[in-house]
Amino acid sequence: MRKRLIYSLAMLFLLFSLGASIAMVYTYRITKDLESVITLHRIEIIRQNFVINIQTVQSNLFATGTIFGKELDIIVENVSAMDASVKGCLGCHHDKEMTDRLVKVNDMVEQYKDAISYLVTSTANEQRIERLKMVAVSIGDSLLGRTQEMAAIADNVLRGRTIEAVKAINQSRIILIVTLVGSLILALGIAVTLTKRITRPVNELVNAARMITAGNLGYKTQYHDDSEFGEVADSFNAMSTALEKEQEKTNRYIDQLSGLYEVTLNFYDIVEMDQAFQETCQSIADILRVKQVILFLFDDIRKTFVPNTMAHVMSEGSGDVMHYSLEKMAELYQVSGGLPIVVNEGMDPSIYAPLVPLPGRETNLMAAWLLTKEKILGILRVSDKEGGFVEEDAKILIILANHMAVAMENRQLYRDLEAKMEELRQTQEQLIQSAKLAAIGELASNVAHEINNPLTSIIGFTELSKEEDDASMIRKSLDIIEKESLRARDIVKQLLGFARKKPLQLTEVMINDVLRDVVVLSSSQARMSRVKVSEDYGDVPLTTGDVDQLKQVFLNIITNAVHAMPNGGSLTIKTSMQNEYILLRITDTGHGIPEDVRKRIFEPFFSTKKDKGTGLGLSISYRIIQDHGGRIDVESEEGKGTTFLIRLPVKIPVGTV
Amino acid sequence: MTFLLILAAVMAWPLRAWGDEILIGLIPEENIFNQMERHRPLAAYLSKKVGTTVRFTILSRYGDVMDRFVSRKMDGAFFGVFTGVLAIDRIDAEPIARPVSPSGSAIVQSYIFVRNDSGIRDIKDMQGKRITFVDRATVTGYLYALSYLRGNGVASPETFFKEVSFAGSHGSTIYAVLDGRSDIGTVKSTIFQKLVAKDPVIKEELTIIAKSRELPDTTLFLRKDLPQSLRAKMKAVLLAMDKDPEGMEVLKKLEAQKFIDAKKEDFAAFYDIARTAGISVKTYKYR
Amino acid sequence: MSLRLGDKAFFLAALFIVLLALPSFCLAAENTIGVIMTGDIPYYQELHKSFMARLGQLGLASKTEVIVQKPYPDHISLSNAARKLIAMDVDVIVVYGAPAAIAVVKERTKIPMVYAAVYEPFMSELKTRHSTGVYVRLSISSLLRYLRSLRSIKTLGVVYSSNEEDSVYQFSELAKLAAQYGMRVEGINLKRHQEAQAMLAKRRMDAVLIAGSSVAHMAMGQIIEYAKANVIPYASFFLSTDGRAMVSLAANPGQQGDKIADKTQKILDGVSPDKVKADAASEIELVFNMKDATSMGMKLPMELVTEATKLIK
Repeated sequence: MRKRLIYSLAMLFLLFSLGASIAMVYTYRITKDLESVITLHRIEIIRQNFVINIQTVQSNLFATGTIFGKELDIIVENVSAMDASVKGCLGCHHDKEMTDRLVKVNDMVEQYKDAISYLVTSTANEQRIERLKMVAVSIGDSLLGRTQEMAAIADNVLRGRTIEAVKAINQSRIILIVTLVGSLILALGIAVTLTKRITRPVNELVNAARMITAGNLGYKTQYHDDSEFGEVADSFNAMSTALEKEQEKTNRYIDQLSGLYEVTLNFYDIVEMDQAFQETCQSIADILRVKQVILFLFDDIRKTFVPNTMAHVMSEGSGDVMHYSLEKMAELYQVSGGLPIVVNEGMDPSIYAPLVPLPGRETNLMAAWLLTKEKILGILRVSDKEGGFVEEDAKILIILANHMAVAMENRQLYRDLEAKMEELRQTQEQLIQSAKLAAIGELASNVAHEINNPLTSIIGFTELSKEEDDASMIRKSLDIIEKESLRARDIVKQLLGFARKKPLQLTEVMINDVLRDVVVLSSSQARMSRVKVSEDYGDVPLTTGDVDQLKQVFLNIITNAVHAMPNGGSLTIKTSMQNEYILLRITDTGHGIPEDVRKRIFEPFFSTKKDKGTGLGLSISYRIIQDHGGRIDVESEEGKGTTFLIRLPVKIPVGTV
Repeated sequence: MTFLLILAAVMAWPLRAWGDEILIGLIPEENIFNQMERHRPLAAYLSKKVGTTVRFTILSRYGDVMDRFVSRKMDGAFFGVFTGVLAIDRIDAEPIARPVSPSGSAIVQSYIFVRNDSGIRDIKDMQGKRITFVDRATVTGYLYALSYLRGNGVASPETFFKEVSFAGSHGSTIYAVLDGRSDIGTVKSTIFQKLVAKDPVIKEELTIIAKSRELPDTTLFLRKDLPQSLRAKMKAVLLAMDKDPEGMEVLKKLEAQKFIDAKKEDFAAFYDIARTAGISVKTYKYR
Repeated sequence: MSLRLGDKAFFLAALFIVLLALPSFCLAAENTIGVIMTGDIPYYQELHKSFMARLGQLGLASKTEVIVQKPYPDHISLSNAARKLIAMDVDVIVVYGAPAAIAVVKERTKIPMVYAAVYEPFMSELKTRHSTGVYVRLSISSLLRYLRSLRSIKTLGVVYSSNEEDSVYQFSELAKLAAQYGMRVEGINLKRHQEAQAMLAKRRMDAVLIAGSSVAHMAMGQIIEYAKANVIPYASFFLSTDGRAMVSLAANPGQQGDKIADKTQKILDGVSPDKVKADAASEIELVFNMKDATSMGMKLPMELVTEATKLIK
């Protein structure tokens, strides 16, 4: 192909070169012809000037009177011009014929000059002057005659050359066109042939490749050729065949590996290790196509490897008798170098005794080590494979053995882990219990402290009123007593509320509606504090929840927000979806919550307000939301504002409450 | 009468503005084309150096010279002896400079010559013979011979000689005598020498029996009514030509060694000849 | 005494004889002029015509008997012609051309001779007391000069005849001149004019000069043919003014004829020849056949065109 390509390109190149050369040659010819035509025309002009010169001189010679006025200058000029013309012509022409003619003309011009000079320089004797004039005139006439003669010749030549030139031009034009068209056609032809030769096999190969891509491995292209393309096609076919073979191999591997995978999967379901082993052994038998699989595990007590699991078609019990001593196995392990032992038919089994095929019962054997970091956990022994064991089988067995070893170890680990987890849970319960007790203790002391304050006031003012006579004073005191009493009741109520975990009255709730109600509720308060409320309710789905309790939460947070903006600000309430949760953001532009405080705001009785509130609001809210299966978070920046983020699930998950 | 007319014409002639071209006439020599070619570089050179275009033109021969000079409004000319004297006398021109030939000569003589085998040696032998002059309006070709004859007691050449003819050119005069068509001839020395140089055989056939004194060769004259500065410039340029390499080139083409100063006094010899010949410049009819 | 019959008869007889003899007296009173042409060539014919015309003008024609001899220009024929005329006891022998003159002189006759067309250098040959005439001083170098102006010459052919001494002299003059010009001279010596063509055919030359020889001039036709065929210029010296040659230099024959007629008259009148001054022919003709020259492609030398006394276009 390459040769063909080179030849074709070379031919193309030659063709174009030929065309170009022809074009150049003809162009050159034409240029030359035209040049000569132009030169001839130019010469014509020179000749005409020459004639004019002569005629001027002749007319001056003929002029009546003497020729010694301006005419002489004219004569001198003209004759000098004539002289120059002829010398010029002589300078150019080199062919003998022309040169001879021109030399003759030159001689005549010299004679002309002589005659005129004599004419001018002689005085006296009219006859002589006339004679000289006549001679000069006749020379002039002869010159004219000669020039006409030469002109006629030149004319013919000119005409001839012009015609030739025109013919040549036409010819050239035709040839150029023919060459151009011819080359073009030929070139196209070559190109088409060439490309065909290339595209066909390429197409074939592309097609074949496509077939293979489509999955039709082993597809052989029918294209055969002696060229490189043929080679490619053959290579392609070989490749296809190879691919097919590989695919088969791969498929086989996949089968084996998926079998392996399934086997190993068993190991990761470590609920029942023994069942796994059983199934595994069966799978191994299938995968490796062996008749018998025995898993030996190390018995700590007896210090031997005993059969644990079996998968076989042989008679039961035959494997029972196999026990391998630790020492023996350790030895064999060294001998094998950690690699599986393979004893095929025909091999001398004595090196691997006792790990050898049972004579009369087994034809061949392979055994792999189950290892942990320091010890041999077991031996995986397979036997009776038709055709003998190959390296592949050994590789598979190693993998399986490793997996089994790992699984066994994991089982142990898992058991250990379970025990530890149980321990942990118990400890945690204890902790919670004590925390609970601690919390109750703290709560009791907080309550006591909280109630103590109003009680102290009540007692104080009661004693005051007892001693007071002024009824107005007594009334003032009584007012205060009432207030404080109410405050005490409030605290108790709140406390009760906190302690009593009311059960949730679950209904379908649209959070946005709840929020709207709450905003209405707190609008007067907000207006009074010059707080601008903006609501941005996203498209959120219904959720299940307790409306009242949720209301309580929202109100609490909004109230806190308004309180945080005593001199005005803006309060933004926004709902949206976040993952599977409804996200509710309540943002204020208040004084913010410092870092250290933020950690503790959900603690019961923790309050930032000196003498207002109970400090329970947020902790109750926190609990409520938690009961709903959601959570509250807070973000804040001191001086900028605070955002409460409440996430609620779309459904209350099971197990909560 | 003719003279008066000419004089009138000259007087009436308006002064031409300087700044136009200067037209200088040349007395035609053997080959006028060669002559023009030889003078072309000189014209260019003078134009450049003097600052005004200088142009040469071939003057008519001898007798018509003065007419032509006036009618063509020429500014100057290279005159011979006789025409030079005429120029001084009739058209108020002055001599400016004169070329020196390559042989170093700036003078010319008149020869009276015969064929060796003619047996003519002196005035006595001449009687009854045929004599050929060149032209009445030339010293070397007539007036000197006339003075020679008159000086030797020949009052009337027409009666003294068997035949008197005017050949019209110096060359023709020599050929006439050479061919035997005439016995005695009188020509310009330079022409004689040129012909002899071309054909040495001539020298052996002819004998020069009388020579005039030295007369100025061709001299450049310029009209006096040209601005003095121009005339002075022209003279200066011409006299300095051989010191200027460009000028040397021009001189070479001109076939001259250099230019020397020319004065009216140079023409003094003429007046002697004229006197002996018995003619007066003012009244001499040379046409 | 009275004349007797016998005396009367004698007287009558005497008268008769006298009467008879009267014409002879008359005849004897008529002059005879013998003319010898050195060859019957046009130039001499021209001369003779003019001579005869002038004789007529002088009134001598009727009184004079002219006997013309046209011998072939060789010594014997010329001598014979001279002798014949001497035998006829002519009153004057008129000769055209030096050869004829020399032939007469050789005869040592006392009969006066009038010569014409004698080449001046040969005058010395004729220094007898009995001759006068017109000689021709002609410059052969001038002719050569003009011939050279037509074409540059390396080899010059000179046609002459050893029969005619003056032509031989001219040939040697040419040889001397040629040497000065760096030219070679080829002499073509014709004894008889018919030889010309054959003799020329063998030669190569750049120009041909026909010396003042009658034999050569009789061969003019052949010479011209040869010259035209070889495209070379041809000149005639001394014996042609009709322009047959491209260039010719000669003294006008007519003028000579006139002159010698005058001189002859004087001699017939009884003047002694040595008292009649011989003079040179004064009308020299330079003839240039421009037509031939141009038709043969020769360049035209302006000097020749100018100086030619006769131009044939």
